[in-house]
Amino acid sequence: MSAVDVEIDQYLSGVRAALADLPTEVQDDLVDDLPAHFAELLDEHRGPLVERLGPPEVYAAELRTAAGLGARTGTRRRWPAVNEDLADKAAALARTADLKIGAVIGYPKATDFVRLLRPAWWVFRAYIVTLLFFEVTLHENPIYNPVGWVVLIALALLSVRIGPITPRLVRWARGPAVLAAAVAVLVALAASPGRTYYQPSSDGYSDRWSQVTDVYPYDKNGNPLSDIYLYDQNGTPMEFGDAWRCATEDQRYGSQPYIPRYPLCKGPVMASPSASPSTSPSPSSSPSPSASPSLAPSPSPSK
Amino acid sequence: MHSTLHRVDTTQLLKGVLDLAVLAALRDDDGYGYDILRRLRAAGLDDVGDASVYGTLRRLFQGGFLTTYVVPSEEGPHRKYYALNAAGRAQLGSSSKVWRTFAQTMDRLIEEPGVAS
Repeated sequence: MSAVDVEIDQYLSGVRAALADLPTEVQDDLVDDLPAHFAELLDEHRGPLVERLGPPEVYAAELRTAAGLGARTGTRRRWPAVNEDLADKAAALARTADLKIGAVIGYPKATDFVRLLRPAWWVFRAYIVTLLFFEVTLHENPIYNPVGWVVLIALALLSVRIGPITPRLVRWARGPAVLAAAVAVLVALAASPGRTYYQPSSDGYSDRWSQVTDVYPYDKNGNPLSDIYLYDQNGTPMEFGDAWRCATEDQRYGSQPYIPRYPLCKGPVMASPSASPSTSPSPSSSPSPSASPSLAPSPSPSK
Repeated sequence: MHSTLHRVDTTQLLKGVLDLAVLAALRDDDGYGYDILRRLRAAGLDDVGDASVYGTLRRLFQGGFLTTYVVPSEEGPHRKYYALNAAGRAQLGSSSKVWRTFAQTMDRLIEEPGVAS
């Protein structure tokens, strides 16, 4: 490549960059004549094209104005509805925010910091791909599968090796690619392991029992038991459903702290034993939770 | 709002008539971009911008006033020649009329005081 060609190429790429918001065919069309023209100019008169023609951006601006394409908007011309002034203001606001947030976290610009996170994204996107693949094909999370780890590590290595993908894509595909990545992240977060496991709530019973509204204890002979206190391993009284549902006035408003006794309500909801639950208030067993005796209720049911 | 007082300069004037100028430059002979630029400059339009001519050529071509053909050159890249078609000639005719009327009007308007009236 001769020095002339290099000069032409450089100037031309400057012009093209300033036309980058236009569809590719229009760009091609606009610059079609230019290499021959530049070559001729340089033939007549050696020296940088910038001296003859001014900066490439200015040249490009003149080219597009004369071609009736309007000034560069910063956004794609496909959305002419975007008020240019508004877009400018938004861009200025974004720049200010970039600097302000950057100052808070100790970087010149917030985007400088975000740029540092790019390798992390390369690893994370490998995780997303692995996760989605395993979820779709095997309906399981790859981190519970040794094969998953192998795939994940292999993909992560590949992903880091590839590095940034967006600049390699043709222009029209960049927006959709970023959008697809965003959707994939959201789907992956929704499918992340936390989804299937409920955290135990603070009062000690897990969601598995949320459907249970009452408990009907029986002894080994099939006799229904009543006024049973239930405690968990911490000595905390267990509550199912609305523990106050069938509480007496006394239990509700009495001085004693209310601890539910099961069955909460006298009901015919029995399945196997033929005997209906006895309604006699005689307690057949008194609870003695070892873990926390302080919580042990007084065994006397007389209230 | 800032006042937008334009000093009359040829660059401003050219914007309105560049189409006509380019069509006129192609009336007698086909030409490639740099050809046309040279003709315009030789005719006295020194201020005509390089990129303006290329942009105008594209717009006129898109508008259906020009045809193009490629001529390979011995040295360097090929050249795209532009030629007026029937629509281009018609456009040249009507634009010329508009221009003449406009120019005469302006002439009368700016003639020395006393001569007018």
